[in-house]
Amino acid sequence: MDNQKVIFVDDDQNILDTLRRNLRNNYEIYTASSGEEGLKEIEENGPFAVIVSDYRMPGLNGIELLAKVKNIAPDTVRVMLTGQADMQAAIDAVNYGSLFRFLTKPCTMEMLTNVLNGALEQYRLINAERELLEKTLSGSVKTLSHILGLLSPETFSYSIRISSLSRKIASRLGLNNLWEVEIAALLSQIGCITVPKEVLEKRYSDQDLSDIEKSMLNEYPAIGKILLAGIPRLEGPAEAIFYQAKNFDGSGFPDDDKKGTDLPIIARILRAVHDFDLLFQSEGSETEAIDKMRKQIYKYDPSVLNALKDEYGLIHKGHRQIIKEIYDIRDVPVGSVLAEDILSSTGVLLFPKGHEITEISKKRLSNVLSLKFIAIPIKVLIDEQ
Amino acid sequence: MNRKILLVDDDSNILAGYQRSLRKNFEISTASSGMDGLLAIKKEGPFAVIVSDYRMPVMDGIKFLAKTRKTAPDTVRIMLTGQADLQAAIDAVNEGSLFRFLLKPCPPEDLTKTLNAGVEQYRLVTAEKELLEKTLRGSIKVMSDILSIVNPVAFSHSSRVSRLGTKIAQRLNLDNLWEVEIAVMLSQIGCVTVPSGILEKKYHGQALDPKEEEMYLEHPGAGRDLIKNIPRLERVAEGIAYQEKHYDGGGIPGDQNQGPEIPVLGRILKAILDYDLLLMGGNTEIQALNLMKEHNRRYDPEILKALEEEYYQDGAAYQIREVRIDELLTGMIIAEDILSETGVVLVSHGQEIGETLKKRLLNYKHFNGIMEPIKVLKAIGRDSAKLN
Repeated sequence: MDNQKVIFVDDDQNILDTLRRNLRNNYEIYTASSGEEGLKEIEENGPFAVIVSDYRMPGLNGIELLAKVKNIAPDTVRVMLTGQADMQAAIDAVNYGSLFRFLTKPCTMEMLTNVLNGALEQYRLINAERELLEKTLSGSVKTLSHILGLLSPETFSYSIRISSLSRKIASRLGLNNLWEVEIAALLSQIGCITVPKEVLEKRYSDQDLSDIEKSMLNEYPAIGKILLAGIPRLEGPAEAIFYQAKNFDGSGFPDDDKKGTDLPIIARILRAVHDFDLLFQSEGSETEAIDKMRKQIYKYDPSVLNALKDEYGLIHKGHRQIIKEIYDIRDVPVGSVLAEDILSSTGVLLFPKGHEITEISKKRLSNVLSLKFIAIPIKVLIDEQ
Repeated sequence: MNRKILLVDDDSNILAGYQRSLRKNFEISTASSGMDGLLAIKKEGPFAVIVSDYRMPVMDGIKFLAKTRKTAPDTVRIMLTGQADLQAAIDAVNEGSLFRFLLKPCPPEDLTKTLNAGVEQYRLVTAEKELLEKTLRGSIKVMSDILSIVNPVAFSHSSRVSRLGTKIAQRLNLDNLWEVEIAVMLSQIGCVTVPSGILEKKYHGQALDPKEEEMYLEHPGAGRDLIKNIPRLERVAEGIAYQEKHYDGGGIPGDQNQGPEIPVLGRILKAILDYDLLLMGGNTEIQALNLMKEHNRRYDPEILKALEEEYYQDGAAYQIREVRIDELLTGMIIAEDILSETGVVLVSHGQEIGETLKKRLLNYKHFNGIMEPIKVLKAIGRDSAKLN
């Protein structure tokens, strides 16, 4: 349900009572009898969609109050009630951007309702964009990534694993658009769709690649960028994907002059998180993975490497995992992580080591199990109690 | 970002003055009357912002801006007004038909500030549409294309019919076309819970045993569960859950809903997915439509009619060609499954060739053999004979 909370601030209690009586059927009404009280109310019962303040009040006046609200609750839409004498101040406040609308007293309920509806629509618009990027877009891409991870684990389970770590690192570095980081990580491997499975498997098991295999592999960041070309708002993630395999000193692919902080920050995060994941899978310990990365420091942005170290210190303090053997698929806890690859009886990789069990993967696992022979027990990592 | 501004004033000196001071920051067009303004919108629109004077002969600012609401609903409207008309302007803002007004005389700095706010407001108003129709749709398209390459048996179905779904929705005059397209693209995601052996049997038209059938029919519900918590995709999720529901109330899910109570997205999916399966099973379009008419209790009659009309209008004709992998061109449609030398389906028939798919096949061929030549359909123009 959309936020319909409206707060009125006025030093005249009669006006507040009238407003509440007339409007409570259509909106969620809150009131405050001074600017100071209004600020307290915002802190305790916010966020509000709309604030309507009187202009002339003892203590903070309407303009001062709404200026403060602009700082502490920037998304709340601000409306002022004003007498004829203060109209010029109100007009200026609108034109300088601190007010959405003003109403001159006396004002009819019809006019007030019109303005409130306009203000609520404005609030919805402001939040729609964020919701669409943070929830709808990220949620859809994440769901599809999970499915790709289940169907083609050797290629795509990796991007799921790195997406939440990339987001955490970005947040440590103080980046704003975390959805961009998450999307870039989730979509980082889509270019691999042109790379044959055999080559990808070699890459993960660290085998030597022939020249032609290398050139196929080196192309995947560029293909990822091409696949996303023309999608508005994804220019940032596309550029990050293009530079995800490039080293901090400028070596690596793509072979151009960019290096250091000229490389997009999201690309520098992906570069480090990628190797961290690979080393963690092979070394089995975060400390050793980071130690190995330090020996090849030219590849990584030092600030990203530091954030990675901090993150690791935080999540694993006093937190150990043990391997548990499970004989009945119904007992596999959602959120546990596979300790070993699960292979079909013909040796096809069904679920890779490191896969986090979700409702959907559990369902697929139980359907597959009921038809085919798979070696049990299943070994998973769970947190030690 | 759209920074196009239309200035309307009957005083050409004022227009010239504003144009000089604003043209560095904005793309300015001008008109000297309301009528000219409407014409400019038609020819040069869409504008981010329209600024109109209030007092003009014949059509005043309020009347002119009210008219632009119909032809350019997303455009942000600002009025220039004198002290005498202040109350009219304030009322227009509060009724929601004006974004802002400015008092004359208005210094260029104030106008610039207000225009920047107007451009930002235009961005806000159009952002939602752009995000849903382009960003979200585009991202899901890329990923579902990849799904259909990774697992053609399960997912080529949805990518083949996505264009058809949109065309049917247009014929039915539905509003949110992005929802239809996304529902089609995501319709098969629940198949990820179905073991591949079952999907292959289904794909090759073999009968499933009861246990397998039961697993298969759980996929619409599983698909809904995967996306039901994503905001804005609630209706898409419902549509996916009803893709195997018959119009007369039969089918899956086994609830009481029937006829128009079934979500329209579900009714569309049922019809176009069945149509596609019939085509994949070797029927011609006419045969497929006739078979569907024989089972017309399963389909919404409006949708069946739209499907038929679509067939008669889409007069594109194709020719079958045999080509090698390196001769594939973007836009060709695969006429017969592309198989590896060991008989694995790499690309299923009906799939359209894109650059990525071609590259993948070339790389694949380098390691494993691919059965060549490949049979493809190549468009040879509209309105000539249809080949199958």
